Amino acid sequence: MPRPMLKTQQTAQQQENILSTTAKPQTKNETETNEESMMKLDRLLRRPRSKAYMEAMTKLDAGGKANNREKVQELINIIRSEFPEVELAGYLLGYVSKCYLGNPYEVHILDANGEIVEHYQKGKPLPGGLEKARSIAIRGGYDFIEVYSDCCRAVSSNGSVSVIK
Amino acid sequence: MAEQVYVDLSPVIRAVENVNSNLHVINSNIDAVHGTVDTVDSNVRIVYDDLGKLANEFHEFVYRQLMANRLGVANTKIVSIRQELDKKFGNYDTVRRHTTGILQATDLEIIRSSTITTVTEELMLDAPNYWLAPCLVAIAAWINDKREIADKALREAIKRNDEKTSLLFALVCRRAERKDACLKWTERYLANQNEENLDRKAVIILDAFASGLLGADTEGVVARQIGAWMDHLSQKVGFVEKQTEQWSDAINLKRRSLGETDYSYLHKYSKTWPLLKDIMEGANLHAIIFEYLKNIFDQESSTDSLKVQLDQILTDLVTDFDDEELPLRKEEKFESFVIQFDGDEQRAKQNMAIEQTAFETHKDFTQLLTDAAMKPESSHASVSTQKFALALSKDWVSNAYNDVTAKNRMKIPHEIEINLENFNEKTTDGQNEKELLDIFHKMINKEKAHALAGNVLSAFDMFCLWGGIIIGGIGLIMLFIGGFVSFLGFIAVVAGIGMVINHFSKKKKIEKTRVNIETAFENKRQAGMQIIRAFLAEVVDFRAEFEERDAESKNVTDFLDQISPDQYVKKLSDTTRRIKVSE
Repeated sequence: MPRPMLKTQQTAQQQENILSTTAKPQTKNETETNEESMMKLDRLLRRPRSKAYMEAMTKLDAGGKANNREKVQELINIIRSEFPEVELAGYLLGYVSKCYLGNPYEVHILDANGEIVEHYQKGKPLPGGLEKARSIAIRGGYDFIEVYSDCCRAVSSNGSVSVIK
Repeated sequence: MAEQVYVDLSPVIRAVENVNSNLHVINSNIDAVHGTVDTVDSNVRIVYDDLGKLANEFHEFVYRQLMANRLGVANTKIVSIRQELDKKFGNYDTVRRHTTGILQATDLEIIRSSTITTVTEELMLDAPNYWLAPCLVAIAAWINDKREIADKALREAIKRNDEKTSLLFALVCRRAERKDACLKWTERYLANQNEENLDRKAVIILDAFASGLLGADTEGVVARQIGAWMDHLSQKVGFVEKQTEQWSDAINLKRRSLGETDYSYLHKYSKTWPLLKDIMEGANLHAIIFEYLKNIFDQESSTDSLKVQLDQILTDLVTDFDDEELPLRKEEKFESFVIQFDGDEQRAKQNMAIEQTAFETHKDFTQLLTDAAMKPESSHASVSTQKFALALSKDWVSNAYNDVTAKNRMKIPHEIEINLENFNEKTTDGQNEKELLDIFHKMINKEKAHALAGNVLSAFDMFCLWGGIIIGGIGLIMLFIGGFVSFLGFIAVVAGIGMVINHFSKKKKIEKTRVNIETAFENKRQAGMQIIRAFLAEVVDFRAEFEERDAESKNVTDFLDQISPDQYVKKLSDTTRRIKVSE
């Protein structure tokens, strides 16, 4: 499983992922173990989500496949600014939420790697490990589900986060 | 002209007949052997069955014997443990009884101080290592206004157990309305605490604090101390995660099994039922937790009950088992569980594991909070402490509760299976009745067609009709020729008639069977349709009920949201001030 990093002031390589900041470093405190790093990250990701972040996520349901590159980029920038201190490349797989476009659409996703907003019909499996969040996205009553490589984080409308390991 | 040669084959024929007859004999002998082997085989089977039963009975007997032996051992062991407790700590009981008596007698002022002094000095000699004995001497000296002795006795008591001595005098001073002294002793008690390794008695100070019994100044000290503990613990790696886990476990302990349900069709005809049952139990947890929390916070503590609690806290301190006694007390408890479960050590161990938390000599502060809030019976926490523990742990409880809820929701099956014999289909919300019935009809039609296909006239039976007519016709013609041919004709006519009769008889039988098959499949169709409809109706009801029950989680989260630790502490202080005025 790729290890997410808490960002420090040191310089590191730039990430291409949507949640990597443009010039933010990606180094790890040498004295900090992976376990400590993960626990700190867990606490950080447990933090209630901001209003701007919640609003950005609700725009996912804008309709059809999002072809407007600028809009998607704007959305990604807002999401990225939610966790400026953390590098989630490879750890966050994407977002899944219930689709309100109506039948036959069930869910839509924001793929963390491909930066694609796409709506999925009944029976069509979700890519990139996102399928595990399908049922809870449809029936859980959460605004959206953040899917990570080792868990899911369900975000309620008030921004509170529930962790499912 | 060639000469004719006659060969007599009769001996050969006889020999062949002989061989044939012998073969018959051998054959019948083999049949007899076969029969004997079958009998032996069936006897062996019976023996095997009996042996299996015997083995089971033997295992059962061994198990029961082991249980009976263990029960006997437990009965003997518990007596020796109690004797050892009495021998080692019998004096402690006496000291505990006297402490209670002296505290009560002092209140009533009916015992001469010299009597108290004599008794306490004797007890001091009888219990050389027990912390409570010098405390008792100190109290007696205090009553007699002998400061020097009181100081010496206190020094000894502090040497033996600083923490408990401090707590005891904090509570005694509080009872005597010596507020400054009470504060000093409480400060001392708290300074003795390590938040990662709290003594069992810490719950008492929490109780007293949460109940508003330690005075306003004391609350300030305790609140600051608790704040410092929490800050320190929160900075530890893994602490928050452990907290969430602890609270999740405690919340899940409140789950109740679903038992008998109204969803008989889902239960009977769906492989998804175990999962559905599991998530419904999870959804029912919301109402249980809400009621549990509401019940805690709805309970009001009156001034009288606060005073009773104070006495109880003091009584607990001077009557509860001491740390030294705990290992033996644990053994005693374990053996008593063994006796309770008729020698079943496994069950005794399970029960001990459940009780273990309450028996733990030391625990960290947050475990103490979890136990106080969620296991008041085993942690002996008062309602006030439960409120306080929940208020302090609010964030962790919310996180844990949200996680428990989300985990349950994660298990919600998007599709529910319906398994009715060979009919294995799925529904999401029970809305696809037409689709499922169509599939079911097709399946029934297919099965019926298959069953009917196996019930048609064979080629011979079909041939019998026309073959019989033709043979009969030919026979009829032959009848008129006369002589031996007429005889053959007669046979042909009979055969022909027989064949025709056979054809119609088989045809009738087949038709009857086919009608039966049709009826059976129609019955199956009707029954199946009824089951599918009822099943889908239950799916609709289940989804609706689950949604309703699951939505009750909001009651819990709203309830937890409105608990404010700061306001709660403030309210406690206000309550305390009112209590002081009334006193």
